[in-house]
Amino acid sequence: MSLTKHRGLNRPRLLCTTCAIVLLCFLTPAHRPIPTEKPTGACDPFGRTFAGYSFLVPDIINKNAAYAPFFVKWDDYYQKNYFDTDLQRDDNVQEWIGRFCNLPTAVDVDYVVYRSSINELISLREAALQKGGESLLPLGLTGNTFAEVLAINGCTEAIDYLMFAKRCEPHVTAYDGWELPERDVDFMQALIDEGQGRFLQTKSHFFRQRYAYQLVRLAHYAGKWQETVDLYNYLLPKFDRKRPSILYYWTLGHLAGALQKLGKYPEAAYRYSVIFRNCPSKRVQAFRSFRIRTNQEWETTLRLCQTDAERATLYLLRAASSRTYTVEDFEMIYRLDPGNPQLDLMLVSDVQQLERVFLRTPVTELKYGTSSRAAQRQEAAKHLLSLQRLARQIAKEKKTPNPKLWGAMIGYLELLAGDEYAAQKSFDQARKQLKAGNSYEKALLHQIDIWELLLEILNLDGSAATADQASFRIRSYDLFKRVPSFEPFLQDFLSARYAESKHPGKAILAAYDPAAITYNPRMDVLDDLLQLAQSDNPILLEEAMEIDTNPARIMARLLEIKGAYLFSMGQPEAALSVLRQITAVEDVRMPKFSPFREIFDEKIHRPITDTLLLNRREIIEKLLDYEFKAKASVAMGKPVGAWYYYLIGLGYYNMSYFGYEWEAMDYFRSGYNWMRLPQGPIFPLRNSPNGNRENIDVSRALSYFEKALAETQSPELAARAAFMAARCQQKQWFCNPECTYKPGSKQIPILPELYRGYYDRMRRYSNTEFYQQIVKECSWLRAYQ
Amino acid sequence: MNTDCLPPGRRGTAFFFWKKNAAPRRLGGFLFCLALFSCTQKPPVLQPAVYHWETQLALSNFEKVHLDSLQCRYLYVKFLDIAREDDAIQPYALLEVLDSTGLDGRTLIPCVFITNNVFQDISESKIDWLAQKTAQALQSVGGQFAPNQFFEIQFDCDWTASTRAAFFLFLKKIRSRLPANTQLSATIRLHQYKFPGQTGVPPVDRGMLMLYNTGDIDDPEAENSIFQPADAQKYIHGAAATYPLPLDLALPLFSWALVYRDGSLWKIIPEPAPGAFRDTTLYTPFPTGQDSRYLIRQAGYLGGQYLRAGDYLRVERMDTALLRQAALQARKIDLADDARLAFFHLDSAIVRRYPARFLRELCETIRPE
Repeated sequence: MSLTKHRGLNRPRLLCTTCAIVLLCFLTPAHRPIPTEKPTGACDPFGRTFAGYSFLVPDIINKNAAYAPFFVKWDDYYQKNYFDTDLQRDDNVQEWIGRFCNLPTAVDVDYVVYRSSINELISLREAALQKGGESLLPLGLTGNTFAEVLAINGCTEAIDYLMFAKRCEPHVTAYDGWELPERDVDFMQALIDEGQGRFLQTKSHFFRQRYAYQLVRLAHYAGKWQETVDLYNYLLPKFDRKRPSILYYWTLGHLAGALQKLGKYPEAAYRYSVIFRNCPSKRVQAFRSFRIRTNQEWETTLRLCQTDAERATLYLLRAASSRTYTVEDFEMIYRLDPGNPQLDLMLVSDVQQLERVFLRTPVTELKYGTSSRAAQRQEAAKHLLSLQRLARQIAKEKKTPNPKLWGAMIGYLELLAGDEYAAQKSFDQARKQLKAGNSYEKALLHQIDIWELLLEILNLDGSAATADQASFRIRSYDLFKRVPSFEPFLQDFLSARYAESKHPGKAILAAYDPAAITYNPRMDVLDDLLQLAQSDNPILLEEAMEIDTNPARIMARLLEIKGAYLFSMGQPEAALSVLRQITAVEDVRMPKFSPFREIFDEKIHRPITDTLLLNRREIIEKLLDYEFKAKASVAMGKPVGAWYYYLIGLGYYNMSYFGYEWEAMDYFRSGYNWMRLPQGPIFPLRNSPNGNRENIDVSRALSYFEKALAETQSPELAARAAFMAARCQQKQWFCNPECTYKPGSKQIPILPELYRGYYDRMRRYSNTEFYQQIVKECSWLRAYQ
Repeated sequence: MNTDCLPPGRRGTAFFFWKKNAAPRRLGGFLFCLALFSCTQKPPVLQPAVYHWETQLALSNFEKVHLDSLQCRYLYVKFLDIAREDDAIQPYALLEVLDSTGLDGRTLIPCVFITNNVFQDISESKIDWLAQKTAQALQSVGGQFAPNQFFEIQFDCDWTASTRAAFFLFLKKIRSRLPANTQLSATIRLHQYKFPGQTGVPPVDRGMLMLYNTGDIDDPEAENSIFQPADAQKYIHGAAATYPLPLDLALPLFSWALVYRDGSLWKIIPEPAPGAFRDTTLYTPFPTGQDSRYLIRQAGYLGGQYLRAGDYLRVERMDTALLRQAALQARKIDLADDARLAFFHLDSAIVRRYPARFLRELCETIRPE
């Protein structure tokens, strides 16, 4: 069962077609998502994520820069193109191809190295022993360019290595993680011993390096940390490492792992930083394994570095573990290694973080929750100022590989700092330095276009009538449509500007669905919108409400909402005067209700068949008429006065949150709020700036039932009034913070004495017909008797 | 029966002990019998239990002695974590048993911690796969113990409205993959305890109510997010008298330092040494006079994390007074007759702060003998 009810969903039959269309446009889920409720408390089961607005385009940095995945985020770009690719395998295949003079294809090398079976390798070896025996290749290797190269050239040393590696593989491959690894350490040791012999017999330095890698890796996987270190130290000097090879870094990774296990954190960290700097295929693992625990370890690691570039890498790794970087991080890396291309990535990454803080408006906070606290903004502001200073220095000194990016970024930092004039000047200056012919500079120019459009939005004046038209013009730009953050940012920004310039109604329409004005109506909002509807230029209202231009209808809808709100606030006379402003043409379109029926169950959406159908204006007129009649009858000593009081109470109860005609006073009711009545009357509601107000106060209804009880001489009417008064008291108890009863519970709610007076009083009327009937229908009444 | 007076959502459901025309007198008699029964059949005292939440199991001598002194028969042992990283569901930190001495005579209850995002946007076939892999992992890790049959397995997941269905389906599926008669239990957060109608009740045999994490860890201004009596009260007060599952209770013994950077939570440093913040050249108590909040004055490493000048640090601990208060509040919770009181978690440094006698006293506070 849906927990939410909406008028448009429940009562279409009461409306004429046209009116229904208007209402559907105006209020129903066809044009907006049904808001979902958020329970209060520390936990929000509907965890919302909002990353913030960003106006940076990926093309301004080299997305394929080696370190980019560690510093910047562009949706899932790096996930797909970096972390999900097997760089290690690709790089290894390339080295094999290079070793064999680029003769074999990558696919064929991949097959022989990674996928061939041991039997195929044995057959390949036999073919290689007979030089030129490619015709003897097994079926699986027939036509394989790499196998042919090996066979033709009699490369038995290569095949022996591949066969050895194939035997090592089951012991060193990472298990899938769902089971504990079962390593045969003795067999692994035997392989290490055998491998050392093979290593010494092998002439090729290419294969010696590979044997060394296999042996160090075996020792590492066998959990023999010291042996890993010893093997590394023994084997590495025994082959020529002049030709760079990824195998060196792979082996170094196992050494670093063993050193870390032995507690030598600085030695391990230094080696991981070397791998991170030089070996893309092991960069992720190095980044994740890099660990320094104390200041002393940091100092020791720094001392192990041999060049400033290596030191700069250490600072980079330390900085990358944080969301934001200090300007000291930038300065240190810039001082040590000004040509380090990662400075660009750090800059963009840092600006991404600053956007999150400085492109939030009060409306963003209202919609998505407060992410930045005052302290955070203060810190970020200081950081922004320092970064501006550094950016100017770096752009001026032109020592970085890409000073134009820094030049352009100066303007964006000024924009984020709120200095729009300076930002425009900086953009103009940056433009002069860029040429449209160069593809990178073209990307930077595009970036500046985006920032300038953002500047145009920031210059919108919420107090000026032209802001509405300007915002529609901005929305029509192609550039606006291409950057996803523009639309939501414009909504939030405009809304905040309208709110600042005392246009609360426009503020809501700019940022929320129009139905938001009905969830917890505010007089200032409704008055602002009514004023707007009467203005010469109601463009915002018409566009926001997505209906044809029809000022009378828009006006009627707003008056109806205002009237219903005043009515629900206990001001029927004020409500009536508002509703009477609705034109006669629109008045007949108003939805109708039947609130004066005796319905004794708790259903809130029962279909009504009644001849007395009244719109809100008529209901209020009827209530005022009943009140007049009640008072007059009481004054004249006529018993019918009590009946009128009873009818008024009935009407108010039925139009409350608990009644079947709740829609007469409200536009949105959430059944979910049953569970948290004591938190009311205003409940949290997503997509609503002011929550959702429910009419849970039944004291007015209760007062009329009490008047009816006081005036009536009829036991039957007294029984009815007492029963309804008991229902009111019961609901009042449900709204009390002390109430522990939960709707839906199978238990009978225990009513404190203060709230069960009328249930007790019902005993007095046990002889009435009404009592006899109701006691059969109502389990709670039976329980309380 | 006519249930018209029931609130929405319960229509058509009968009260469980009410029958049509049942006389109130009959109810009185029933309640009298119930009261009589409860007077004569007082539930036994709480059984102390302890969580082991490390990746390697080798009880130190001190821990063994502590468990013996506590007369701890139940040991909840985390076997593995399951998390989703880069869209791949993966196991982490499978338990390695280095030394099984000290486990004899204790009942081991394997635990699996699953991050909530594992169950976000997950297909039924993937849930099936996850159940199969989890059962496989439990068997593999369990193989290090003898005998490796466990009568209960606990799943710890802070499910939300969007993941509830998937998590509950997972529980159903894994039950069918475990040996028959294996009981399942699940941790229950306080909001899940208070709002079972909204958050659902997991399809398990028992629940472990975690009487901690009452505050907002992300809020730099919060007092103590591990436990605050007033916050706990909000969840206990107004909760239904009985939870739909037999409940055990978990109390926290751990401490941590929360590091806030740029105004939001950045890192958690577990179990900082008590004297770690004495050096006022590095840490300034903030605001002055309080000893649980510090401003980092000089950048440097702490607990393996590089802190920057300007970072803000809040140390949260459970002291004995807070634990006593928690125990008093827990009296109001309807725990199972055979309930266990589990302490989170076993670690020499932690248990040194809480003598076994004190922990037993907590058991007795919650349910006096």
